[in-house]
Amino acid sequence: MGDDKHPRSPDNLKEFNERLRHAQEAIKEQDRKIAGKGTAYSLGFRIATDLVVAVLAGLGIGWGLDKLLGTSPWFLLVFMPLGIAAGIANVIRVAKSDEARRHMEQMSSRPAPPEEDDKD
Amino acid sequence: MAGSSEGGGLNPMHQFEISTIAEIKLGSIDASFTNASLWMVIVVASVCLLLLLSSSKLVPSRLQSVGELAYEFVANMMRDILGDSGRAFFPLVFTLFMFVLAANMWGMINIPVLLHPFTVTSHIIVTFAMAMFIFILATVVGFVKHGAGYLKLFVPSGVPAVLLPLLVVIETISYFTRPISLSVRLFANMMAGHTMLKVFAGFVVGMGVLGGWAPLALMVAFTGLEVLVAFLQAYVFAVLTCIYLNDAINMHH
Repeated sequence: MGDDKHPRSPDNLKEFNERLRHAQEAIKEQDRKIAGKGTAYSLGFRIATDLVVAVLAGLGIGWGLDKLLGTSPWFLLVFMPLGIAAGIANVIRVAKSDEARRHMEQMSSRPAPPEEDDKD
Repeated sequence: MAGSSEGGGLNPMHQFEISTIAEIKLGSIDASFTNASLWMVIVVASVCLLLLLSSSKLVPSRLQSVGELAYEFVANMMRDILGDSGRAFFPLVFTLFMFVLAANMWGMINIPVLLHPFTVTSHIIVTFAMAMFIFILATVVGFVKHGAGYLKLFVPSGVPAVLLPLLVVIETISYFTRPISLSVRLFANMMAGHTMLKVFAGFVVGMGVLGGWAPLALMVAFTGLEVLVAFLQAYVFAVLTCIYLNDAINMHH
C-alpha cells in the first residue's frame, strides 16, 4: 500500500473500477461452474425422488382407500395411474425450471466432449 | 471397533438405534432424552458456537470466514430463487440449511470411545417433521398472500376443459407429495450412505489382513462421496424450501 507509485487521478480510479468489475465477474463465473457439477447430481436425485414418491403415494392412497372401504382393487386401479401421472408432471416441472435450464446452458457452452463411438 | 463389544456386532443397522439416556415421562408420552436428542443438541450447539464465538473482525479469522461463507451462500441461493420478496424467510432457510448440514457432517465424524456416532437426519421422523413444517408454512403463507386465489396453483392454465378435473387431481397429488419427497430424499440418502459404509467396514474386518485392503480403499472413496452427499442434501433441502416458498409467495407456476 505504502509503495503505491501511481498518483490518485480520477482516470486511474476509473480503470481500477473497471478491473475490479472484471475480476468480480470472473469469480462469479468460476463459482457458478464449480456449483454446476454438484448441483447436477442433486438435480438428478431430485427428479428421481419426485417421480418415485408420487407413484408410491398414488399406490398408497389407492391401497388405503380400498382397505378402508373394502372396494379392492378399484381405488388402487384409479389412483395408481394418477400417481404415475403426478410423478411425470413433477419431472416435467423440474425439467422446465430455471435451474435445469441453467444446467442445459452450461452443458451446451462447455467444450464438446471427446468423440465416443456410439453403437446405437 | 467399538461395535462388537456393545452387542451390535457387525450389524450395519446398529448405528441407527435409539437408546435412552435419561428417561422423561410427560403423562403417557415418552419424552426421554435419547442419543438422537443429544446429537441434536450437539448439532445446534456447534452451529451456534460457529456463528457466535467468532468475533466479527474486518479481516476475518478462519472460523469467521466459514460463518460468512455459509451466510453468503444461503443468501445468494435465496436471491436466485426467491428474489427480494423472500428476505423475511432468510432466518428460516439459513437455520434449516445449517441444521441439516451440521447434522449430516457430524454423522461423518466418528469419535470412537466417547460417543457413538449418530446421524440425526438418517431418521425419517426428523426429516419428515422439518418437511411438514415447511409444507404447512408454505401453504399458510400462500393462503395469507393470495387468499382463495392460492387454489389456482392446482389449476394449470391453458388446458381443455375436459382434461381439467383430471389435471386438478394430479396437481393435488403432486402438491401433497411434496413433504414426503422432501423428507424421503434426505433420509434415504443419509441412511443408505451410512449403511453402505458400515457394510463395507464389515467386509474389511471379515476379509482379514490380506483381503481387507480392497474394501478399505473403496471405503475411503465412499467416505469422500458421502461428505459430498452430506453437503448436497443440505443444499437441496434448502433449495426446495425456497422453491416451495417461491410458489407460495410469487405463484408463477
